[in-house]
Amino acid sequence: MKKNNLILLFIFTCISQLALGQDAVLTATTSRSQVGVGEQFQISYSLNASGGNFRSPEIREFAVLSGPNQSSSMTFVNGSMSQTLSYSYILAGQREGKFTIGPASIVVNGKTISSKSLVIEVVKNPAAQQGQGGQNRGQDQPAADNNDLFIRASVDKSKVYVGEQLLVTFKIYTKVSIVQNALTKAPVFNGFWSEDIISPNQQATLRPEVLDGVQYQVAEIKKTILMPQRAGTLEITEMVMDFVKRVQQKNRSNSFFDQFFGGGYQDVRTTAKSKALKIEVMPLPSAGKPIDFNGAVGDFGMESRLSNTNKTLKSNDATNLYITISGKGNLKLIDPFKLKLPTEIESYDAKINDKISTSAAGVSGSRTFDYLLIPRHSGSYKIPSLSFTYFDVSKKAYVTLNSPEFPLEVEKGAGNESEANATTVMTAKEDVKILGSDIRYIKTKTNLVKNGTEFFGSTFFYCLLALPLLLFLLFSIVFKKYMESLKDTVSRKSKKATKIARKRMEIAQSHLTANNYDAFYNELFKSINGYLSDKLNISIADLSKEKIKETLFQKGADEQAINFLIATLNKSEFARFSPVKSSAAMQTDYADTVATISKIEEELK
Amino acid sequence: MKKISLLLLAITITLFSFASENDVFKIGNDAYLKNNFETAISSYQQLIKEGYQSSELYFNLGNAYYKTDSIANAILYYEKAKKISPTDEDVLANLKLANLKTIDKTEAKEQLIFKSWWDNFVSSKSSDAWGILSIISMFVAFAALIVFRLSTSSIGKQIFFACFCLALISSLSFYFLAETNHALKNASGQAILFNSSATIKSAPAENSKDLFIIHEGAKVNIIEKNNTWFRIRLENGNEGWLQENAVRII
Repeated sequence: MKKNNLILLFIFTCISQLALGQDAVLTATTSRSQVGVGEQFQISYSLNASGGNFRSPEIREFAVLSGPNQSSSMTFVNGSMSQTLSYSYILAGQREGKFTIGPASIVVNGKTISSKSLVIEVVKNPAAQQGQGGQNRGQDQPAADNNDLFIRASVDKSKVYVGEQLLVTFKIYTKVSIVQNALTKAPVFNGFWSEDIISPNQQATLRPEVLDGVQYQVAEIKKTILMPQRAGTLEITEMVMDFVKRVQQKNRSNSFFDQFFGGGYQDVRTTAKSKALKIEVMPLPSAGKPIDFNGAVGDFGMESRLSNTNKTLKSNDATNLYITISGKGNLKLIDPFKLKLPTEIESYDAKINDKISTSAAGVSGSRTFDYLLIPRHSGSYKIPSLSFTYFDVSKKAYVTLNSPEFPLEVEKGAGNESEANATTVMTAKEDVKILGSDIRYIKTKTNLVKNGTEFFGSTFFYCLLALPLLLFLLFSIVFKKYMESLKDTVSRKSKKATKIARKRMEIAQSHLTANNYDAFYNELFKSINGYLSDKLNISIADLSKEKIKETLFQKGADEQAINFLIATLNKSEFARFSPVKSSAAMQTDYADTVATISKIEEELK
Repeated sequence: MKKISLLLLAITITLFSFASENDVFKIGNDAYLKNNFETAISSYQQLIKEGYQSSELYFNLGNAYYKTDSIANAILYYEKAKKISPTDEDVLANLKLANLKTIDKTEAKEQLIFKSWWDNFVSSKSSDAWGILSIISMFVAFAALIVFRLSTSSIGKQIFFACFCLALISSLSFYFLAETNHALKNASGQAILFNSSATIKSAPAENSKDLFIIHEGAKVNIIEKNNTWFRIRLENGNEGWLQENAVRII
């Protein structure tokens, strides 16, 4: 009632102002200053006086659906008249932007008055509101509309890590009964990986719920597990639904028919939409992020086993390696593992078995990778440990799980191994498989040489190289000297030989005169041998008759002289040891010896 | 007498220092095994700084640089190792791998079979070993000559003179081989580019025309030097001028 009073007061004020001769005003109004693309809205220009020659505003960016629609009204209150003339348009926005609708003008009492410009912002259509009746159906949307039927979207977390699960729930709150509903626009989960728990197609059941002290009937229409795929602020767009609700008529005529037909109710079309929600998605911490991290977020366990436990395998027999990741999280995003198998073991792509269930608690279950392995050759191998890394949201840390290493004993199977391998039948011999190329390993033994300490080219080197030559020269000099000195002694000896022989002969002669038989022959023998030894350069020990003969012959002595010498030697030797001692023999032997020495002397000259 | 004692002193010093430098080498090898390549590099570099060299030292250092992705350094030290032992398969294999990582296409120049055989032969022994062989042959030659002088029979004289000639010729040959090996090792006609890229100019001046661009790790032959510029030639025959500080000589 208070509101009504105010309006009345306003009207009275207006009229009194008119009566006071206030200037006429052309007022421009719009039903909405912000509209969606394609959305209808109304602008109207109203004049508080009578006028004419209305000039339309320039409407460029909007489609004119109808108008100008002229209407006028005249009111008499307490004898004074108030007059309203209005022109209205129904427009629709065509593209996004902020547009100005220029002023309209009208002539009042020969005077042109203009309205103000209108600024309309056209935004991206939040919801195609075809269902909305527009202005002409305004009475179908009571003001209480928003309160007795609305959609609420809620999330269990608004700040999550990339890959972390969150639950979004869309609920209808209603105080009226809904006759019909239709989903006009489903929410868009851009940047999320989503898994529906309840979709709008499913039958929803109503149950009572109290919100802000008011009881509503509530139905969950959509429940979805979301996993953000990238960091940043992601939006869950609004959900728009059309409803036909049954409302009790209030201000209508209480006609008999209405009451009779259980009326007082009217089916009204209405649109409800939820608010868009913003989710803040934090990136996973880069600190301590393992290299093998592949985006798994949640809480997981890992299990692995070989199908042939405790059983030795034969070559070309198949075995299966099962790796199961179980737990809660984005299981479906876990990629198969890359096996680092010995190359003798053939492996095939993993078969994936999922046992994943989605509930309000999130996505949980297990994903099993089944690898088929066929060892092609006998031997003992190891299936290396596999690691799986995930981000544990509750601990806010990366967790790495490792599978055990499996030893694999493979016995020689039936048949030739290389022949049995179907893929290598054509080439019986396999090439050595190159697993990777790397530089060759360092060398551990070396012989470090210090610069400038090289032997070659050093002075010492050249000295050594020249040393043999020097030694040779030295040798040559010494040798030459030695040879010379050797020659000297020989010539001296042979010169002396005659002298010594002569001396000895003189002694022998004195023995001869003294008739000293033994001493005479002794001296005679010494004399001739000493002479020959010195003359022929033969030592006394080596002096034999054959040697003397040979040497003299070599030196070119006459054979007759040689024979005479040998005969003399024999004779004096014989006489020396003969028991008969005759002085006459001594005489002849002395003469013969002197003769033979002088003869040899002559021969050797 | 004094000379001999000096020589002995030199030998003992060499022997003592030999132990410690091999220790440093071992430290480097151990670090390399533990993937501690930076330590390995500093150990090896310490040896080089102290004036030591060997094919294996350069090879290991090249490996350490390769592992730290320092390709220009790796190539430089592989080339140095190759210079000392041109036939070492490990060095050649690693050098090939390192060259694969460079940007420029490296065309391995086909060597004449005789030339490579000769190089192999020359570097099959160190210049010191060839030198020692030369000295031994020289001693043998003059020993033969002395025996020739002492010999009295004419057949003996002929044989020993022939021996002398043969030994003298081999001594000279060994000396030649030692010299060739020494020259091969100390030749400094090649360099490796260390800048990430370098523009080869048409003249030894900054404002001269750009001819072509080579990238880090490229091997160039140095033809001449002009102030701070090198005139270089690539394996494919392209020639031009380059600032000397852009490259490091092998």
